[in-house]
Amino acid sequence: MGTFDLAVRKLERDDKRSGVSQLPEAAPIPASAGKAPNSIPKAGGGGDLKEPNYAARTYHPRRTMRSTDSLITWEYDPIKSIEMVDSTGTKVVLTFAEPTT
Amino acid sequence: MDARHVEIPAQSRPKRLGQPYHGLVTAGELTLSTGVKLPFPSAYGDCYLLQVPGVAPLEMSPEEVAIEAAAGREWRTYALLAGRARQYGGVTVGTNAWLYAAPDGTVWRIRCLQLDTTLIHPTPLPDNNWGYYPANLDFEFEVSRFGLISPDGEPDTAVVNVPSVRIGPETGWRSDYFRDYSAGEPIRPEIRRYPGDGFMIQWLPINIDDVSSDGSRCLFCCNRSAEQSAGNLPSSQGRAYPLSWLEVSVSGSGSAADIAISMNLVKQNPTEEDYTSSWDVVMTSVPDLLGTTTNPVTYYDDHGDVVLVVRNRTGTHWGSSKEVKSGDHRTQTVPTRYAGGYYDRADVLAWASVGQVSIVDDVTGTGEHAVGAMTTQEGEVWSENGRYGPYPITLGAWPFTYSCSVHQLVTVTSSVSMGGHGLAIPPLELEQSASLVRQGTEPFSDFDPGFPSSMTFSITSRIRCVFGEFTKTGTDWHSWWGGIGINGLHEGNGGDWGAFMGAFVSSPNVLRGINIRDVDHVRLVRMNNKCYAVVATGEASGWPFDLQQRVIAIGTPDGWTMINAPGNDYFASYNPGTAQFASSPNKGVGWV
Repeated sequence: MGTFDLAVRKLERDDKRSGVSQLPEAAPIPASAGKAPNSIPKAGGGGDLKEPNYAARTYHPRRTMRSTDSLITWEYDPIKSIEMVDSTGTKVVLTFAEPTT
Repeated sequence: MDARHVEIPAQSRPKRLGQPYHGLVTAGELTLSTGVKLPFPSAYGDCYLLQVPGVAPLEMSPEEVAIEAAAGREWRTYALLAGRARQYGGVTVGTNAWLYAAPDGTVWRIRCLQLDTTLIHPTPLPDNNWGYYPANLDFEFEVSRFGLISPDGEPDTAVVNVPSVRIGPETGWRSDYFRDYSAGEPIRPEIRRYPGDGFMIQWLPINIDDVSSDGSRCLFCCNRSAEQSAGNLPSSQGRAYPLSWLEVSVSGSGSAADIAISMNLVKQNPTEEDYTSSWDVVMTSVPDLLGTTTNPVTYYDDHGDVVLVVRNRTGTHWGSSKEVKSGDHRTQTVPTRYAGGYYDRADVLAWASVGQVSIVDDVTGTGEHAVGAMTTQEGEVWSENGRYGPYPITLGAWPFTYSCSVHQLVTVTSSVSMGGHGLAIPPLELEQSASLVRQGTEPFSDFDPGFPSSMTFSITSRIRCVFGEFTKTGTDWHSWWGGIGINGLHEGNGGDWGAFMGAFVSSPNVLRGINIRDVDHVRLVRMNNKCYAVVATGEASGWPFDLQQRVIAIGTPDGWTMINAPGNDYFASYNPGTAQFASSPNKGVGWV
């Protein structure tokens, strides 16, 4: 949209809503922004992660959550780590912090 | 894959867990504030509150509560278990089980194998068509952890046996009669107390009447059928007559093996032998027909064959007249009987009961018997074949006028109580006035001197009962309840009349709940763990009110709600958490 068009629209709006001030429209973003270099990162970043072994997961100490009426007691072990490999066979370990609340 | 290992995504943060959908379930559906309908198919009737000790406070801001409410959710720190099977959010605890919340906050399902069965039978006495149910029963309980979702193995369970628990009198409860199938027709439900087929099959069902708010006490009722409304179960299942109550106490924490159970017989209903009645006949003046004697005189022929038998009356009989006044005073007193027990809001065991029923039947009347001068005639008698005789005899007859009037008043008073809340039931009154005038001949043998004969009779009846007040005047012999019968002349007495009780408390049976009285059949029935109903039903025929059952009032732990509407299968439910009450003449209602 050209500068002229914007100006005309602004005038039209000001006409219709007499006295209400309008913020100016943001300028359009140039088409050249947001490009990344076309290279492969050293580990994992390429996606296509797979977990080879479910049993290799590790867990934080057990936590208990009770229903508000206390009838249901849910014991669960928060996930601590999941071991993945990427498409190149490189191991990537996702490690999560222990929940505090 | 480990099925027990419930993974939660690492990035998620579980914040609140529970059953946030609450409100009135009508015809199996809960409608949320958002208009969304959730199915709760069996959540009607019974409603049990379970309060787990030491439950954490909600800690929700008013804004958060409002946001949740707008989404149709309400979070509570107690649970409601709905329906006879005690359902919680779609999980069925069972008709033979309840939940116990231990002091440490763990919740246990206590299942009793003797609950809700058809397996407790009487032992017939030798050479008798009845017998006794066992006086003592062995109870077996299965204790298992409830509501635990855990990555670990099998849930913690234990078996607890409570042997040889007394469930009634020392002899055991007397059974209903047995009847052989070859008899064709079963014994009518009206004279049976136990569910069965009216022939050789009968049983004593034990079911839960109520559970305390932490489940540490549970009230078992012996001979409790599965009703969840003011109606009866279909056909022979009937509405069993409740006989006795056992309180089960549960204690312990930690593991299933540490849960202990004990049982006590806490209440028994009186039996028919405990009903008392008396009958006084008062006669204020005995008639004396002067000089009257009656001598049977028999004539025989030569062969010893009877030719003629006459009642030969001698003496002065004419001109005598005598009035008699007398009265009947009959009473029947039925001691307090129990329809069921429940735990009130303070967890105190309370009872729904019919107080002493008193039936007073007063009949008074006067009669007059006036006899005129005897007319005599000489006669002669021959033997049947005519070969002997004639034998001279004197024949005679007296003209009489007989009149009497009778008044009957039957009053039935009673009250019903639920906890400390009394309900006065309008008394039943039956009143009749009848009079009779009869003229005729009291013959000496078959001699008829031709005195005029006539009879006039009139009767007025009045009924006041829960169906209204009705009056009828007529000249026929039948009133609504066949109360007064005047049978006419009774020799030596100024009148002969009698009155039926008009009303009485009939035997307990599988249809009627706790009978309060006859005629309008007012009775107290258990609807569910917290609701009891006083209902009435008309008579089958000949009475001035219709047949349909009427619900007079429904009682909850908070008191009585007057209903006074027809309904053969009235439903109600009381919410022990919010003290809300709902009822419907035709749809199951319940709270979740």
